[in-house]
Amino acid sequence: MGGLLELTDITVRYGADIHPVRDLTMSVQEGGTVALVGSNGAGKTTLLRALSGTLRFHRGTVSAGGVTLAGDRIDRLDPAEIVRRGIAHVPEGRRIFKEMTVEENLLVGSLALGARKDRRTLLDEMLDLFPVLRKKRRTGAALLSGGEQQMLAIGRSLMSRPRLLMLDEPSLGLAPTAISMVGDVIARIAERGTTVLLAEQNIALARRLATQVLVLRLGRVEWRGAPGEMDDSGVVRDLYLGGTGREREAEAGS
Amino acid sequence: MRLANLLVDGLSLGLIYALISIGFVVIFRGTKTPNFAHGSMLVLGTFVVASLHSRLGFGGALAAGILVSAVSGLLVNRIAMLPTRDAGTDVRGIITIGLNVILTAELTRRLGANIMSTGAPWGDATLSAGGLRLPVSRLCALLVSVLIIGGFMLVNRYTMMGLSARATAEDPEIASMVGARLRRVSDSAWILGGVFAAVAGVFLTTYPSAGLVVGTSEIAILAFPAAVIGGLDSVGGAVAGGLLVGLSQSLVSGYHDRLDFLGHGFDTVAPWILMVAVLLWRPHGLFGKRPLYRI
Ligand SMILES: Nc1ncnc2c1ncn2[C@@H]1O[C@H](COP(=O)(O)OP(=O)(O)OP(=O)(O)O)[C@@H](O)[C@H]1O
Ligand SMILES: [Mg+2]
Repeated sequence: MGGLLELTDITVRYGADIHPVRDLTMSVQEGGTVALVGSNGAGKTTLLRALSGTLRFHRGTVSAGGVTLAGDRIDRLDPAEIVRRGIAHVPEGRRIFKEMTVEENLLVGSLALGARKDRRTLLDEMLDLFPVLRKKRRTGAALLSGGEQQMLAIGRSLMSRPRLLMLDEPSLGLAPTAISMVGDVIARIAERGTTVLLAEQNIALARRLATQVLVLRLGRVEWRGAPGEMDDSGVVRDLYLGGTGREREAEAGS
Repeated sequence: MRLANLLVDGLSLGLIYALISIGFVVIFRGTKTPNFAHGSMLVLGTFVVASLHSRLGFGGALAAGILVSAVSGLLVNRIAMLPTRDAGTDVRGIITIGLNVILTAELTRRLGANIMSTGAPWGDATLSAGGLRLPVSRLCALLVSVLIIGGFMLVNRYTMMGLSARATAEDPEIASMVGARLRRVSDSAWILGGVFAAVAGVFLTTYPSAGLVVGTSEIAILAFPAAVIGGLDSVGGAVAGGLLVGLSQSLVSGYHDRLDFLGHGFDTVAPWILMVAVLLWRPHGLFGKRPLYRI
């Protein structure tokens, strides 16, 4: 109750009868960082798509339930409207615009702001936050390394000045040092007051950043609690069958 | 001198093709649809100009033609393209083939065997300087095309509107995620395609051409090989493709006495042969970023 984002009994359907998310209820408090963890196919990506309105690109729909942002229903809006309301989505696999320069990728992120004069100031802020991008601002985005591309994808989303930033597996395919840099950036964004919803398989990264953790399994919330309570609950071990979770923790090295 | 004249003729004709072909490419990028009705949309706009110029004057008729063409583009998008946006490129391409047949049938009924003039004020005046000859019509075409194409390219590269269109062309899902309004982007693509086609149609049907005839749409459809040669999703490629098609036509017809062994009317076939040759060499055209079959 009273969260910035409220999901009530959300069910998502792909095609005729695939229900990757079922009767899911959760809320994200303003200023918090909620981590969604869960193994492959748990429904993390699907849930974020439902929130940003992009399910239709995957032949999916929210077939039941509702979502509110600051009290307003948003589950029937299209993505361009949702980002104007303040939800930005950093998609799985980064999906930067490879045919554009770094700077153009950032600028296109500010489309939701409409005709504004302070676009350049915002761009400058972003280049301060990501010094690697400043050096390569005129470079084709396709030429960036994986870590730089992730930074660019995050920067692009921040250009809409979101209230809620959703990130889908920002650690995917990155080396440990790059993962900890991405972690630093997300921590700074959260410190500056942006609410964060983070879908992550990397338990260590999720635990480091989160104020609350939700474990998804087959489209339902299987466990929720503070990051510190995860070990005792045994949920992590159950999910990742033995060593996997530990290895990932060792990798993340925060 | 003959060669120089043919080159000038080919380039000025090529710029008209480039204008049509950019419209085709903008529609293709914006909605992943090859618009096979582009030629008949062009004839429609030009037909409006030709029908109204005696009443409204050339300027008024041109404005009306551009408006009708723009609205027809918008209607096609709203009625046939948006509802089928989740269907494949092939399905929407086939729809435009259907639209082309319908539109051509209606225009043929109205035009019959007539040759209509668009009433363009420059008539058949021709400039000549030191052996070079250029019809004023082609000179106007050259200037207007360069202005429109240049303006379009600047907008495409440097404005938020252009950025939004490019983002949509590359990845519609992510574009909408960052705030691009896909319906608006596709509407403007179809409107622009219509406007460019109407303007090009007027130049295509004034001197040295006899006027607007049913067959004009077949000439207009040469923008298709032009776009394909350029790579279908590249604006710069559309310009290059248009120029190549114009040049190939002008050179082939200019030297027809030496190319007689190829048969009569080879100039109309040359652009298509050029297209096939380019595709065999580079399956995604000269400037295309993606192979055509993946789009
Ligand atoms: N477009 C689609 N059509 C049909 N089923 C889909 C589609 N996308 C995902 N699914 C299915 O929905 C379920 C949830 O997938 P989702 O991608 O949301 O999981 P995830 O938690 O993000 O997994 P991962 O960690 O591997 O990214 C899976 O069973 C998946 O196969
Ligand atoms: Mg996923």
